[in-house]
Amino acid sequence: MRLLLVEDEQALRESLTQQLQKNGYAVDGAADGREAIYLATEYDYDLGIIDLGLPQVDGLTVIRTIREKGKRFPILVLTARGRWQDKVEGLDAGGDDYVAKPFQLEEVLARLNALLRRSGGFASPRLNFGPMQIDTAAQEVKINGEAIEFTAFEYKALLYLVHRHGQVVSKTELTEHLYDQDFDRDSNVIEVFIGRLRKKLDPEHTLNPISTVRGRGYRFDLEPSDPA
Amino acid sequence: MKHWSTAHIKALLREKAPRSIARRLLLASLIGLPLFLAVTGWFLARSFEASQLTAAEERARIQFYALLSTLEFDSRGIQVSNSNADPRLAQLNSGLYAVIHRPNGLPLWQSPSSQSLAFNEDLLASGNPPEIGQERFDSIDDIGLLRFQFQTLYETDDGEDLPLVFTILEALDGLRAQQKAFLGQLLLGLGSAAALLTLAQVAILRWGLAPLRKLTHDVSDLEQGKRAALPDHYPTELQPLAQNLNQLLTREQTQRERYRNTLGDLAHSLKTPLAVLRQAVHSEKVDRPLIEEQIGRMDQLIGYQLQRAVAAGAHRVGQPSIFIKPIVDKMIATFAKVYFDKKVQLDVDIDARCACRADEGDIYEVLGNLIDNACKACTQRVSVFAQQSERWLLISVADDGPGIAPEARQSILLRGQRADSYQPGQGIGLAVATDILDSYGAELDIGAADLGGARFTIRWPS
Repeated sequence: MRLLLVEDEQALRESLTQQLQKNGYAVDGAADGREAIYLATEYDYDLGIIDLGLPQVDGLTVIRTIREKGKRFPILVLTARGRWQDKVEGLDAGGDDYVAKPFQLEEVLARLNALLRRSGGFASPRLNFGPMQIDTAAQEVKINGEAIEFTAFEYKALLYLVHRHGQVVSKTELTEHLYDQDFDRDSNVIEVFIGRLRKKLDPEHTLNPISTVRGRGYRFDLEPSDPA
Repeated sequence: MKHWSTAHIKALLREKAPRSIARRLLLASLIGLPLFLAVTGWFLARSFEASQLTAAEERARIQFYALLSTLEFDSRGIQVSNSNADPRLAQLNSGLYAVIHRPNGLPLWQSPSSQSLAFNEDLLASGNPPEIGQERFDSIDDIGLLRFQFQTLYETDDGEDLPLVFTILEALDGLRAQQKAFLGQLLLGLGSAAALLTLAQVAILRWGLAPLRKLTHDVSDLEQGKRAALPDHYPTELQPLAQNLNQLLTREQTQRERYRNTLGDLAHSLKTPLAVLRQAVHSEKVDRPLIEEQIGRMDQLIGYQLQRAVAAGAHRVGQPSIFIKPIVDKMIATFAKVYFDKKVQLDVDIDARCACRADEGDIYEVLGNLIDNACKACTQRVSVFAQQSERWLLISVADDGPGIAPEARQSILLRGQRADSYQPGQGIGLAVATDILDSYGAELDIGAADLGGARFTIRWPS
């Protein structure tokens, strides 16, 4: 899951980037509105976190511009002032949720989770795929009731495929959404990584949740059993 | 040649116009008054001249009739008995001359006054006499004479019709001397009028602008702290300005007091959590939950105090009416996003005409807090209703949650109004909303909703 983080306060941007990366997200940071608009138009993000008070181009304009350019990824609005008028205007401009500063990391993570799940088309935090259950609130994956240990990064990669279940996801797309822009792209890494996911999810090769579509990429094949 | 556009002239006027109102008015009248007096003088001089000429023509006509009535024709020619005529005709070079001649210029009789005058064709217009029975009045400027002529047919004793032209000449010198005297008097009169008017103007300006000087003086007294407000005995034109200034002052003072109180409260209330944090720093192991709790508490204190301070509040001069429905509609869209997972059903029943005089941000703050609380408390449904009557704008926010017990209703409104009475986890929204509503003289009641939960009703004075 690749995020665009727009925050002019360097200390906050860096610490938030670190925390988000620790939680398995790929993060591109932007320090001002112009850079934010450039990145949002150039790259394909899964979510944006945008502060309203920005130098050069303010946050509201950034959100509006991004929406005008047809970008539909969910946007979490950060606001320092906490006045309702600011929050409402942020969401009216095209934001999807807000967090008032100073925030706790847990709150930001919970809202990111919910927004990503919703943008994947899942209304409920619990996703059921036959024997496989994903609790997006607890970030827990169970197969036949048994919890499987994932690193935060593996979990985000699995979630990316799950959100696009039934669709082929190319290696390039996967690379772009799992790593930030500084990552040295090498397709072997993805192959090894998918191998590791398969091994954890399906050690006996009975379920085959992720199939390889030759020459095109990967596909999460399990069907949601109770789409809420 | 420089082209003068309206913009040029306006710019020039702006640049060159005096800074003082009194000087502007004085300058305008100093330019306007001489212009007005010059035009008046010119008209007066012209009409004086015209009336002089009319009078001269009338005099000449009388001379003519006098001559005609005493004219006799005998073998020696024309005889005029001088009894009815002007004595000046008998006096040499008196300035009044009379000649009776044939149309071709042949003189038949001339007054004794005109003995030194050389009659020629120009003087007698012998080439172009007036028609028989017609008169003509004109002036011969190069010799300075006014000329009246009349041609008549004189029936002699022989029964012969003899055409005769009467020419009466009057020197212009006399008229010119009169004109000069008149102009002199006119100039003197107009000049003194101008001086008097200017003096009057200065006096009127001083008197008329005195309230402005007084206002300036009073404002400067305000500035120096010699008085707290402007008095209310200015002329009608300035009274609204003074009133607005006073309202502005009151508002500014209230705001300043509010800031001061806020800062005082804030500083005071931050001391407790700071003291706890300082202790925590010196304790042997880091107590994360404790630090988190204290930071949360400080955050809440700052949030409450600052939102209270920035609330615009009432009493603003000319505060516009704000329509409620567009604001609530925007908010509903916001809450639909924020409470997406809860699937809250938000119903709005607001007449498009519902409005109140308030700062837009304050309305957002009050309604945002109430609707947010309702969304948190509800099971599934929240309804926002507004109705305008003559006296009140009623806005109610209801939910289908557990509701609020009657005995808890009062305390929930008071909760958090004392800055140091916070408990972690308590919202500050209601306290902020209550504060804002108080500043507008609006009331907030808590009751039971038909939906089953709580109903918050605002009564906003219309």
